[in-house]
Amino acid sequence: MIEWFPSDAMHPVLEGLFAVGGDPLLWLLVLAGVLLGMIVGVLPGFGPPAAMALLFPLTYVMPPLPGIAMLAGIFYGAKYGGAVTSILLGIPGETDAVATLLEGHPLARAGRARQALAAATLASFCGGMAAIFMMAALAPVLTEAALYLGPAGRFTLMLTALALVALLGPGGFHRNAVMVFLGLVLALPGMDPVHGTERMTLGGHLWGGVELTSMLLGLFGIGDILDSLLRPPPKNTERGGSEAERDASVERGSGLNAFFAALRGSLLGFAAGLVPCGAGVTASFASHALEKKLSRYPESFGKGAWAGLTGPEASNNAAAVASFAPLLLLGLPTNPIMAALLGALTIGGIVPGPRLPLEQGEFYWGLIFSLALGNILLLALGLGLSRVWAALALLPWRLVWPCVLMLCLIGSLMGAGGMEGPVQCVFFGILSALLRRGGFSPAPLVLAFVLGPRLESGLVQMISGGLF
Amino acid sequence: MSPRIFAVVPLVCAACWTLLAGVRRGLTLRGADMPFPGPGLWPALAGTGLLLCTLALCFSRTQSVPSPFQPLHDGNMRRAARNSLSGLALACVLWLCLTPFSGWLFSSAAALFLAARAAGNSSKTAALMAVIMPALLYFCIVRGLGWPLPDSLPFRSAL
Repeated sequence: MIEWFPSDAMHPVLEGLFAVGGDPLLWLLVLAGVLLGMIVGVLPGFGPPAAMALLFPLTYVMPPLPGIAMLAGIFYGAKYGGAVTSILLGIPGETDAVATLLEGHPLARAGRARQALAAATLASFCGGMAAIFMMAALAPVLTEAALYLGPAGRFTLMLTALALVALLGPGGFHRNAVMVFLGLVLALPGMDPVHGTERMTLGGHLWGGVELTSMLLGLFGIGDILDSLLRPPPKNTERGGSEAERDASVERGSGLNAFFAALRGSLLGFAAGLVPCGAGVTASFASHALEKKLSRYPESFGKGAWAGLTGPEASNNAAAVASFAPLLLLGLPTNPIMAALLGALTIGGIVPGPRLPLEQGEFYWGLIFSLALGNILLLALGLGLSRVWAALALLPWRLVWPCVLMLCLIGSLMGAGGMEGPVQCVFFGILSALLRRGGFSPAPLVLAFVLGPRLESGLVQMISGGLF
Repeated sequence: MSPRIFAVVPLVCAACWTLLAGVRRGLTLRGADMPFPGPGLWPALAGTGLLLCTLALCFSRTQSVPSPFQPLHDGNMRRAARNSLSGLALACVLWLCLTPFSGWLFSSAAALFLAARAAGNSSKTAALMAVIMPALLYFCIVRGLGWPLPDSLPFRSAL
């Protein structure tokens, strides 16, 4: 039995609480992360992985907890930001926000935009907080289970995660499988993690291997710009129906229903967040379908049902928070954002895995408290600045992308400390555009790239230990 | 020729190169009493996996998904998007060529001006963006965070 709370030391939960409460820099950075995430979520064509990659180099000069807390803030801030454009403009800023659009935009068109935004903000808060409580409660159980895993168990778990990414990821099984193996191949150049020898360095040019920062900035930063320039302009998904019809269709007696929908959505989202790839989208659509099935007025769905808005919104934020559990307790990233966070954790000297809450309790519980802090800030900013988000959503893309391009190039220069970073960033930007044109998604590639060296070490450990 | 070939050929080449690199480095090492996995084992496995998956993709029937993109070659593309794309490419090339010699501040300002103009902004807006953005980054990153971004002559000698 693990001694969770050793008697000779301060309670790890209290240590975490003091680490967050007594650090004003952390508060500022979480605020900055949440703000940036909301901005990124509101701006169509620029995703949270790109925003995280832009700020990724800053974690080199920061203590681990504030750095990771800031990056985490971008993630769930962007989840909420995606809902703003869905509700107000009928354009989902994030893929997870499509289910929110189905009910939120009709509500906005019926003159209830502010109420819809407030409901979405409260539901996001509810989902996030519920997931944080569940994560804290489940930590001892997950940790005890994970401690029984040997090298073979860990290897199988990582392999299963990649198989799930190939099966569930966007783009179809065959394309995802190709991306997974391409990610494993891209992780090969540089130093062999087991034998310590140089391999596939193209005459020493790739001695340091492929830079994670440059790859993320290229695939998601420059890739998003190229994607938005090559795609036809988004169509506003207006729906028909008279104003009177829309008003009549809004579900009656819906306050309590919406609250219970958010609770159900939180549970669904938390479960989905533990599974690799596509968690948010799956959870939000599943929640929308569930609410429609449970509703006494199923005909109001698609025309502005409150339960159909709060359920998916809560589930998508709960899934975002839940995806931290496999990362922190198993060292298993379930999406590209978690892969970037895994890189940031490694840089900060934090080893994710079942022993994290035991050996670095202050960091683990500090991060959980910082997630709660971020959610409270998200609620305040979401309710207080709804007009600003609406204005920001209308910012012309022609002003945004040149700045994003420069940030990508300078960010990769910062990450690599030399010109190989920007060169790799541009290469991955072009690769991303080509891959997306062919219907491939870069997400499985990034996950496999991050897990590649761990899989290799695991395989060699297994063979050397006579497990085959 | 099918456009699929453009995706398959580079992937097959990368897979074969990885597979060969793995085999050349040795799949096993001789240990005292049993073979030990060699440095080429993982590259060979990854290369084989990529090759097999690419071939499976090539022969699978369920792979034609409608492309969300506009074709680039039939004149269907918006002029603004075409200008933006060429501006983006030129800005990247300019930044990559200028940075080792002039430092990131000047190259960023020049590349940003070019990209902003190509994006359809007026000269005044582009000039404002080219001044404000690098200055903001300089004060936030170099001054604020103390991040030693490589710049001008010392950077050139380091290269």
